[in-house]
Formats: sequence, C-alpha cells, structure tokens
Amino acid sequence: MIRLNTYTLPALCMAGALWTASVSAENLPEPIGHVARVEGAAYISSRGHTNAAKVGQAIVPGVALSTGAEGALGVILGDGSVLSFGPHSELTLDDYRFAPARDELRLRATLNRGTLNLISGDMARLDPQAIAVETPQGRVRVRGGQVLMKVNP
Amino acid sequence: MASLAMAALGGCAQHSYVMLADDSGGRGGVVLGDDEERLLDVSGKALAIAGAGQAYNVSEPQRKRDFDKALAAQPALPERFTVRLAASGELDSAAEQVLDSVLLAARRRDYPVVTVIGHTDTLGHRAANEQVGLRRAQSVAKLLRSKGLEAMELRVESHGERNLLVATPDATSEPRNRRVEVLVR
Repeated sequence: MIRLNTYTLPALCMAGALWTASVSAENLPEPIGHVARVEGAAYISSRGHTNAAKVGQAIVPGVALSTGAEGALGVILGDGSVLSFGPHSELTLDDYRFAPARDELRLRATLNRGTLNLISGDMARLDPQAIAVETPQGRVRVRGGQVLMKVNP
Repeated sequence: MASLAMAALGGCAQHSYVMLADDSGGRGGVVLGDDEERLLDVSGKALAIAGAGQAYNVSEPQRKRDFDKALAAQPALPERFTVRLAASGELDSAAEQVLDSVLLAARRRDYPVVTVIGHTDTLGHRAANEQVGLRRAQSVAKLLRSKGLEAMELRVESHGERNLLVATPDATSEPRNRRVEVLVR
C-alpha cells in the first residue's frame, strides 16, 4: 500500500496540475446529473477527493457515490434516469453519454455493495442496451422500467 | 431478537439479487449473464445475480427490509413538458400554458435543472435537423428566460431526428415529431 502511494503521489500532483489547466480552459467535464436528495452520511468521490454529498451538487462521469451506516442518497441524471441508494452502498459511474443526435447512449456503472433503486429514463427508452450495472457477481443489463438491486460484496 | 432470528433463517436473503419493481408497461426488464440468457420481465419478480437460478417472488417484508431506505431516498421524479410547433414552425397556441407549467415545476424544486430539447421529424438531412432542433430549443429557452425562469442550470440541447415521438421511416414529414421537450429535474 505504501509503495503504491509513493507511486501514485506524483501522478496525483500531475492530475492536480491538469485540473488547474482545464479550469482556466473551461474544459471541465460537463455535469451529467446532480444530487437531489441526501440523508445522513452520503459521499461523492471525484479525482481522488471524497466529500459529503450536497443537494444540488453536480455529478461528472467517473464519480463514486457512497453512503454510510445511516446514509441514503438520490441523484437524477441528464436523461431523466433516477438512482437512489440505501445505507452501506457504493457505486461508481464509469461512463455516461446521453447524446441521441450522435447516437451516443451509454450508462455504465459498478455497484460494489449496498442497495440501488434505478428508474431508467430516456436512455433505456431510446436504446434498451444502453444501461448496464456491473456487480461483483456479474453484469445486470437494465432494458427499462424500475429495478431494485441488492449487492453483498 | 426477532430480526436476529430472521437473519439467521433467511440465508437466501444474503445473496445479491435484482428485482424488477415496475416493468413500465412491458417495456422494462433486466437481462443477466454475458450471453443474455436470463431474462427478468415480470414486475415483482427477482433473480439472483450469480448462478443460473429461476425467477422468484420477493416477499413484502423482505422487499421492505432490503429496499425501504433506498426507495425513501428516491428524489421527486423528473417532469416532462412538450411544446408543439404549428405548421409554420411557430409555437402553437397552447405553448404559453405549457411554459407556465414549466415555471411552476421549476419553482417546486430546491435546485431545479431544466433541459430544453429540440426535436425534428426525419425529413431532411440528419445534421441539418440537429441544427433545426437546436434553434427550436433556443427559442423556447429564450421564452422561458423572458418569463423569469429560475433554475440552477438551464441546458439547451438538440436530439435532431434521433428521438421521435411517433416512429417513422427516414425522410418522412410528421408534425407530431416537430416539438420541443422540457425536462425539469
């Protein structure tokens, strides 16, 4: 672990420099959704930083969403898909593209643990193959509707 | 004590599973496995994510125990409004009322994000239609702003001819597909 950290530290500094550069270039990733509900301990991790989730906070691709023992979290994505989580949950939003005009429809997430309530939006209506959630036990493709998942690591 | 006993007995409650809560009028469903061999398409049924088991019913107490908190955290669902365009391309007479409903819906939310999405029919070139859709969306967004829309974020997008209300072949004039959609979330 310590060795890993020594190696990742310069990489993180680099990422920091890039981050600053992209801020000035107004090249920040487009928000793909926002936090709409927070109960108790709920967190958002992005680029190696973890912060308490706040209602209204923007979500960008690559973020990890997590909740603690009494925590719960609800988010709404750009296509109208809704995700909410019960306690002890963790999901990374690996890829999200919703650009029908360019035929880009893709939601890929990994639910590592916990409970997820997913109400699929326009994404699944336009392409039933667009949504997939990876779990430690296998891939779950959501073709549409409302789906509940419980994952034990 | 009771819950302890339940946890001890409910060995099968410990596995990872997926449940279809609402099949959305037959369009919803879940597929498991890399070869898409296991299908879940009946509301209320569940499948273990691992293995090759059959679909089973989830009892109400188990559903509550497992998902009550996730469901309680479900935010207010997004609302959709559609502004139709008259043959001339102008907004139709009902547009005013629709825009007022958008403003109300945004006001009901603490941090509203409003997306204005322009759509076209399949007549004409795809790239041109993306531009037409964008212009339609921009004009509606302008109206919403002039009416005093307050939103945390106002996004203006175009789906061009790739998000039809009424399915048609390519190069088809269809007035119902010429529209501007407003998503309030």
